[in-house]
Amino acid sequence: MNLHQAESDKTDMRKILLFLLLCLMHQQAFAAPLTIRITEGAQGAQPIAVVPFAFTGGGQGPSQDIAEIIRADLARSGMFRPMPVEDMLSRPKNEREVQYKDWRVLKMDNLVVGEVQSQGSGKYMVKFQLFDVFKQERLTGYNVPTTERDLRATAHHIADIIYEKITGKRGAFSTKVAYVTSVGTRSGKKNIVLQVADADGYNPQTIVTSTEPLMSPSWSPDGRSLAYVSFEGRKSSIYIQGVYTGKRQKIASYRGINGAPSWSPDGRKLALTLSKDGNPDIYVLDLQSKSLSRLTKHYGIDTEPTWSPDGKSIAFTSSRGGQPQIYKVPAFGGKVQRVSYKGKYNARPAYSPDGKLLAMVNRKAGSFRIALLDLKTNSMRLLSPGRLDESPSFAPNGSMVIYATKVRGKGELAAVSIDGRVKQRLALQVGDVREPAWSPFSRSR
Amino acid sequence: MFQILKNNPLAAAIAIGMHLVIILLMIFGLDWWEKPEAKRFKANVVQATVIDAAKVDAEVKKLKLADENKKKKKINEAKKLDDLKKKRELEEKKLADLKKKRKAEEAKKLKLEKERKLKEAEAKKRKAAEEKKRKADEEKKRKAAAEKKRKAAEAKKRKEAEQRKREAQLRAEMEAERDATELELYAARIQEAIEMEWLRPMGVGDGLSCTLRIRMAAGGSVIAAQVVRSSGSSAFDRSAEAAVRKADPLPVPSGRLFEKMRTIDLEFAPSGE
Repeated sequence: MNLHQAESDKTDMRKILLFLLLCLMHQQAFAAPLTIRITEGAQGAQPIAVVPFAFTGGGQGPSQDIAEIIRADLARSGMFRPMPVEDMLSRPKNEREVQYKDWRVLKMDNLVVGEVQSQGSGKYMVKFQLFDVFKQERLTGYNVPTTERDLRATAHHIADIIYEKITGKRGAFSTKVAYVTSVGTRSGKKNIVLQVADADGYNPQTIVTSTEPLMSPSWSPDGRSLAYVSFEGRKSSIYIQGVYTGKRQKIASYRGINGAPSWSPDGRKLALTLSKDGNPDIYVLDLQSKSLSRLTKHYGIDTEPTWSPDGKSIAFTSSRGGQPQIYKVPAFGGKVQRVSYKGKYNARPAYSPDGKLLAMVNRKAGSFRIALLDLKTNSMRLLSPGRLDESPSFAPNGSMVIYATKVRGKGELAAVSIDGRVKQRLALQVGDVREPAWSPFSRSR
Repeated sequence: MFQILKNNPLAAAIAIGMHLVIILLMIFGLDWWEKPEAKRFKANVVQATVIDAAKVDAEVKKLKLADENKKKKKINEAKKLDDLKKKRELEEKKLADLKKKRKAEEAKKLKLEKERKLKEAEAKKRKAAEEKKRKADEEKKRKAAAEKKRKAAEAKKRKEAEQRKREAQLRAEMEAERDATELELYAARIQEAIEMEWLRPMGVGDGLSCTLRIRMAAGGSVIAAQVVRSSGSSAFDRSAEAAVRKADPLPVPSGRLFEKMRTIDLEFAPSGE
């Protein structure tokens, strides 16, 4: 056999193999494998292990436990069930040290490892990696430079990345919460303070301090400004203030009540409650032209307007039916429609970011609780335990609702996951805290 | 040979001489055998010389008489001879006739013989032909019988094969039915095992579905799991994959039945809650 023949034989062989392969493929294409339908899985918190981040490099080490912040964020969202550190069989700090079987036996679907490297003068490099334990695959990982001051922000940022990778939805841990608190002073008087804190309640920053009441903070859609009611001069006025610039502007100071501002989704208008024409009704103020249009005209009280995310309608609380209930009206005026029917008292509506749910305060048997109304099915369920819960506000990703509650006569912030399963008090707020408002996503992305 | 003679001239000469002697002896020897016969003739001549005179006269008289007698006899004899001759001629003629007759008879006989032989040949031929025909017929008959037999055997065989086939089919059907039942059972067990482990993120999966194709080794350990139809949500797809991996190894039958579910598709489609 000469070389040429050998070559041609080889081609023949290849042809035969190809043919066989095609046959096989053909057969496979026709012999569809057995199909099993899986329908009854559970929806719930995802198991995740966040291993304490190792510290490397000289110096004292970071003041914050990054892994712990991430764990708390993920747990609070209700979407995760972080594993207690003491149950961990090993504590890897990078991919090389990961033994998948350690985590597989614990049925931990997801694993986060990381380390904090000191780079001197309060600077750090935070490295983290997220693994799919069962696929034995790295899902994501970053090196994030940070400083001592921004360690918490960095931890929230990492939690956001993990959250999004696993749930497919954007994380809201790096967002802020605005709220009003009253703090006793040394002179015995009370200061009313508008504050903005991280979504977990840490890092409170004071925006406004007043000796008179401050009320109803509302975030602009870009997250850079807050509208609120101030009783400075013992008269209600509506202000808009830059969160980072501190610059403020009086927007409405009509006769009577100036209350409950709510920003339109496009950021150009504010819905307000004004009583300049008699009793409180809903108005819309164009921020550019300063023109004011009246949306409701009723002898009952109409207040607490809130824009639907599509900007087409405004929901509000009205006593026109004898008891407070939720109604809605087209944003450019029109017929008022009742929205809530269940219960004798429903107030303070707030739309979920997808516009499908309406959170509100429901009173039943003397207990005020946060309730969720499904706008499609009209079914309502109670979300918070009561008894004095108020001011619901959705996280911008819709996964949680923050609200104010009273613990031993003192106002506090609490968050509940949208399924009602995880409820958590947000710690560290000083004084009597009320009226939380969850910020939109920051535009930095 | 010549070389040999040349080398032994004496021997050759002796040999030639001997040969000549033998040849001569052979010739002259024959002559020796003829000579004694010639001697017998001489003895007869010696006997004729011993006769007396009286006896000669008597003898002459006798001879004369004898001569007369002889003459008479000669005439008689001539007559006789003539008669004889005639008789002989007649006889010859008779003989010729006879001969002729015999010849004719012989010819006739020959002809008859020939005819007989022809007839015989013909008969033989006919007989051979007949025999051949008979044999051919017999062969044909035999063949037909064999064919018939063969056909019958074939039909029987076919019938049997059909019967076997029918039986096999029936058996296969029964087996398939049993397999299907068992497969269903295992499918249900696999479904249960995976559903136990399926935990999808909250709010992820309403109205979504995806299909995974998994390949297993004997014993049910999952060798490969591949998303063949994505839900569009990586979180949902991932939860499905994780469920399979957590349920690994899956409950599978062994042997032939396992081959039927070595590769399976899993459709993850949450029922509305």
